[in-house]
Amino acid sequence: MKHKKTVPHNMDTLRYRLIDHEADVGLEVYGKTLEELFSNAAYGVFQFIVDAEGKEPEKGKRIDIEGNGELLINFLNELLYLWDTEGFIPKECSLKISDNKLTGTVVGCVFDPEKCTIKQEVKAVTYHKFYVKGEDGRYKAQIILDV
Amino acid sequence: MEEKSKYIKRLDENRYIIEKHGNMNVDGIVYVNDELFQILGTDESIKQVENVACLPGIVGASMAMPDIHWGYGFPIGGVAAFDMENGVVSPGGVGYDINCGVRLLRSTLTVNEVKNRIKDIIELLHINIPSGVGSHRKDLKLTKEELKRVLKKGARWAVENGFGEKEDLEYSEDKGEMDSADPGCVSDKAFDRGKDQLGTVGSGNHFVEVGYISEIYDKDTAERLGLFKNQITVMIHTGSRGFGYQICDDYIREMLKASEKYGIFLPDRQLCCAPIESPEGQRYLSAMAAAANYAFANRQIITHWVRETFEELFRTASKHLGLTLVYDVCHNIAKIEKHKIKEGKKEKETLVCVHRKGATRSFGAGENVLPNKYRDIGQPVLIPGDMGRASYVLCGTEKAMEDTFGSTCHGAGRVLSRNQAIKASKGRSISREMEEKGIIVKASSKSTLVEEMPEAYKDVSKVVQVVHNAGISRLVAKIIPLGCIKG
Repeated sequence: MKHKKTVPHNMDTLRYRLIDHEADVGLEVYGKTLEELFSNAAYGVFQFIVDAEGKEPEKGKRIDIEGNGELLINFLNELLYLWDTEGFIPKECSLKISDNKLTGTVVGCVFDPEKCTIKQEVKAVTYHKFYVKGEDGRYKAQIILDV
Repeated sequence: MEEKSKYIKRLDENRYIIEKHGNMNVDGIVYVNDELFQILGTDESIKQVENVACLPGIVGASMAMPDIHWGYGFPIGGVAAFDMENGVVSPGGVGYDINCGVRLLRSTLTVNEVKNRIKDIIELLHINIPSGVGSHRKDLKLTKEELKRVLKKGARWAVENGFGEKEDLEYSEDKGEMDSADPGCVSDKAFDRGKDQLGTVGSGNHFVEVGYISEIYDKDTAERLGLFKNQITVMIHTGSRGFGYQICDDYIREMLKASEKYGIFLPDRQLCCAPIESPEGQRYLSAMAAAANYAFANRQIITHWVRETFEELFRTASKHLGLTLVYDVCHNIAKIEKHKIKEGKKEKETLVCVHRKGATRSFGAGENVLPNKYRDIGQPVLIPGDMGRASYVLCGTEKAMEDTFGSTCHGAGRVLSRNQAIKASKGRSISREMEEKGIIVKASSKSTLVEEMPEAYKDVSKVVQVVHNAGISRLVAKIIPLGCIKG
């Protein structure tokens, strides 16, 4: 898995790395802010699902999510729902997070078999070994995907 | 290799015990022999058996079958039964793919009649049966009202709508229809995800596989199941697709709140749960049953398309080709069942909620839920292996009723992580390697093929040997793959 460093809204350090898990897939995700962490997590999860480099962002989705400690999981599972029902592929996130609430817009494209390649199915983002924490002046999260 | 827990000890040649310690309410029992114990890898799956043992109302032991591997929450291969009064039900003990399961079709065809045509068969199966992410048949799109009927009726809905024969319903767990299903407990989001995905295989380890019976271990039982040497079989492995994933996710959120409300200690948040008889517990069981019915209908519809494919290629009605159902089993499910529970020195028949996550029901002879035809031999147990080696047909036993709440293994179990599989496959063509072995594989995505390569799994033959030796199911026949479609 290549870590892309060219997407505009990113920090130029690592966005996420893979963790080895026997049956499923684990990600360790990083971000300077919570918003960037969430955005990088969305990027990391969709790197598994589909290659849509050939498509430009074309529409925005308004996202309003609540969660008591599991905001990141709820956000990612919402994106999986949009992918499953509308073929929506997130490209850029503009998010605001406060008091266990997330609001904002995710801009992305719709799956087009001519321009996108599906890699694999991700059933869900699980709660197993999940955490979000601040460490060395940045945020770090661990998520395990059921694939 | 990390050191395994100091509480784990060899019980006999097929079982290890994790002695109750810390917050565990019961012991853990892992069905592995010494060889499989050595490849248990990290301590994670053992830790998961221990975590399940901490849940309230667990009876007997927290068990794992020989295909045990690291899951999320419950281990894959986990079996746990809970007391109806004090016990809990946990969506994490069932998993996201609710009623992921397997069915097996027998045929009148032999390997010699099919071997030269296997490429055509796999090609046409791939055209007729949507596999892979996002694919579905344009001729099967359901309104919400119709989907509600699927959720209530399961496989019966499929048969009533022209997908298969009435007789198919006889040869399935719950006759392909869990009557506790309530579409009223299903979210709009789940309906949205479910409307286009009925009649799809999905990706990952799901497949439709054509194989042949290479060995018979128990001639009488095989005869009763209508199986003979060199006979062509078709195995279908899939579940409730995005519909089930959404229900699991919806109810995990609800159960996180419920666990707090009922003061349940959770060693892992993925184990969140609610008392079985609580409103939250009952609602989950009703929604889970709806997803189970969706999966039963899914496998039934695919069965119909398998028959159509063979009819088209062999230019004869499917009834002349056999293609009748041997049985259909669930791999990820929670069920209320009556089992004998030890109370001191006495045994008492008690209702319990049995969670099987990556495990198969293995009911012995005499159980009245079995079809008449199988009642004196026990329930057929269908164990798919990896795409390159073998699959097995076994039968349930009375010993499974005594020892494992009528449960056994469900497959091979992964031994390489997906990353390791990707590394191991660098510079190789898995599809060509399979073809050199005489197995035609048609996968919708290259990553599925790599992750599902045979060496990513334990040898299923070693796994079934343990359950056979432990007496919790008995070997009947071995199936060798000829070709498959995967997502």
